Amino acid sequence: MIVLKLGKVIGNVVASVKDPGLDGLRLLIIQGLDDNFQAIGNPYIAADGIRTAGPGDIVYIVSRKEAAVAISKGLVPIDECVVGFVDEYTVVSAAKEKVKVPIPKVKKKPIEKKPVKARKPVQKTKTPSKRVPRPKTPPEKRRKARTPSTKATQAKGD
Amino acid sequence: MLLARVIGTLVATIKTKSHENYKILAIKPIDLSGNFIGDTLIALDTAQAGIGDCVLIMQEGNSIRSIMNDEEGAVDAMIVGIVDFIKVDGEQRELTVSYNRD
Repeated sequence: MIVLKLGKVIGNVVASVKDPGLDGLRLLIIQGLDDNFQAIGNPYIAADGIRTAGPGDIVYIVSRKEAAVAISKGLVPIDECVVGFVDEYTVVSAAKEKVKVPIPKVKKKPIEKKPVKARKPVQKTKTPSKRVPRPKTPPEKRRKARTPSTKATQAKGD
Repeated sequence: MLLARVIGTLVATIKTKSHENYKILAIKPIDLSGNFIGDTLIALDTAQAGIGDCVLIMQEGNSIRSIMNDEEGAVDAMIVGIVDFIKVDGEQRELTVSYNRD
């Protein structure tokens, strides 16, 4: 969560094919700085809102939506914008130390081995089948019941 | 909104129009017991805060623009108040400290 922040201009970007919203803007490569002017994080690209910043300058930068507002040209598609040239920056030495956020240690719980219950062997017993035997019908009656279906006749006709 | 402590100042003569006539301070977020948490950030000041003060930070761009009365205000952190004390679980804490200037 770094918002308005310090940075050093270390170069610039030239792009001939770009969004029309970026036309006429200078694009600078910025290295973020901490209170001791030591580099922090990776370099990133910012638009130049003061139009005077060049390599070696220490500047302060506004980010997110406010970067687009900093350039009075309507809304422009930028993430970071240089808004001021730092002449002097003083920080109380007591507050210069880097904050170390302790990472909570997670104790690993030993995995409790649960006693495995021996499975009971499944006893295979023959169960009497529930199928009810069909009542036997005489063959004459069976023929009557089997009337020729339409599909069967079609298939035969083809 | 954020609790922070003022730890330094920044002087800039060349800056965007919306930042003119405002004091710029370096601040560091603190927790409820006054320990620093997180990285330094730079904020504009409307509350006349000084080094060592515990301050209230606003980070919402549109609210800041309405405070500044400027449609083109490009600020994403602003000091909007100086904290006298906070009360946590009935316990009163004063988070302002006095630093020795170098």
